[in-house]
Amino acid sequence: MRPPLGPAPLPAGLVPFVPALSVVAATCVVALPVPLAAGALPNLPLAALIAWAGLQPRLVPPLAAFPLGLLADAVAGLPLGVQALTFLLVRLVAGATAERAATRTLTEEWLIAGLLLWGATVLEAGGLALAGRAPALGPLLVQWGLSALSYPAVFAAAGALGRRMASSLRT
Amino acid sequence: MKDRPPIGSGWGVARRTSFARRERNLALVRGLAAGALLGVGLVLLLLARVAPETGARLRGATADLLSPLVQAVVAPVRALERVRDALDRHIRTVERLRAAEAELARLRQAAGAARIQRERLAELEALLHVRRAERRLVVTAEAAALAAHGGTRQAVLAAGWRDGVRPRMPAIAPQGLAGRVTDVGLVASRVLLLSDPNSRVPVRVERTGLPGIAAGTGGADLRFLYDPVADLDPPRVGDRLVTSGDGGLFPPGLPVGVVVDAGVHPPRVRPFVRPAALGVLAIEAPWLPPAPPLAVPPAPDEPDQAPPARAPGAAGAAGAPNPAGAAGAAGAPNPAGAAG
Repeated sequence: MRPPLGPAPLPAGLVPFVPALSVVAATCVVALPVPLAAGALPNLPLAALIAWAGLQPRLVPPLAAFPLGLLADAVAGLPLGVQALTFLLVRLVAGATAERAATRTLTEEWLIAGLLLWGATVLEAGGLALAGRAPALGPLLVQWGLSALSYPAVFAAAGALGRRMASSLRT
Repeated sequence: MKDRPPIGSGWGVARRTSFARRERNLALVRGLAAGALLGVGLVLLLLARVAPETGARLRGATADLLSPLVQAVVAPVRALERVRDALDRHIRTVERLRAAEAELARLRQAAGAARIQRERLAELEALLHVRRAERRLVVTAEAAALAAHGGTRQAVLAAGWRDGVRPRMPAIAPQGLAGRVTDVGLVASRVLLLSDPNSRVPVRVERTGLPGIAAGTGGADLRFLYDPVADLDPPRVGDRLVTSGDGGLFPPGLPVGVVVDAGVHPPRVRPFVRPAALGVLAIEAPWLPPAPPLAVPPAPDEPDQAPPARAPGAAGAAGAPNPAGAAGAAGAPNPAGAAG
């Protein structure tokens, strides 16, 4: 018997956790050493969270965003609460915007994600200042730009994962 | 017949109502939980402000988990760098040999002068009974800089609490100061690099001795913060900054960076230790041990300062400790009396 075409299906028990696990994986990926002098990388976990909030909102509820942000804080070495608050608020706003417009074009999706990422940058700077740390505005702005630029790729990757999840459940 | 509700409609209405109520209750609970988490987040941030070591254990534990991943990612990069260096050395052997011979001749002269100065300094210190703090190496371990998040510049060190590493210890690379340890895990630690926006290192200009602070910016360069009126000779391009030893954390004389732009204030400084090529770091104990707690002697018994109870009619008696009466007797200006 010939094997089915396409990638191997995911274990059914793992499917509900794939969105959160992908955010965790993105958190670890952006922490790994990359020789960049600019001092900024895209905020891939947050971009993934925004993408999943549009694709599978029930699998990444706002209450799950907080511990994911807490983990991102711990991995990045930031004061606990900076990303946790940011992730939670961004997920709440992303959920509200997704409920208002069920279908969006990719351009609209990108624009909304860019605005959400901008809000997250402001929140992060505020959180760092509240925690008594000096926010580096230049690198934060570079990070926002890189995150907004990388969002379509993150969205496409999340979409591909979502299709694989659906096919795994069908099989 | 038309007025009768369809069979089961009562059940349907009841089920819809209960479903809607359940959804409403769930939404309320979710909203309350989100609000509670927002509160927890704010409390965590305020806690980090008043007690910055909050969460250090969790961050240290994540450093433990990240360290093998980081080492695995860095290993092929380091191997490629070694191959490149080997090829470079092989190709430029003659050129490097000539440069090394010239450098050796120059350094021999400098070493002779330095030896004389060192002996003279030792004699003077012996005369003055100067006690110098010694640098104490704790451990030497491989380190790799983590990717920057929002300007933070940190590295993971492959040594932790088990190896004697503790928070605040200076991390020193062969080229100079790299940073200081912040969070310690069991087998790995985090190092705050000089270019982190929260890094502040007391330094001085090697040429003039001008003191200041090397502050991180989150970018590639540092800023040299100094008092412009403190010295008439401002820093110049090419001036080396070394640690001053102020604060007792970093030993004095460690190279920190070189001034690359003196036309702006504060001047830009390029650190000697690049985050992208950390390699092996030496972790030392803080240069000066923390001062022992001062023994405070018990307070001596003091006489009761309260005015003694006075018998009626004894007010103003001679010798009674009555400031008001004394002031009056000494002829203190009394506006009321003057007016009278």
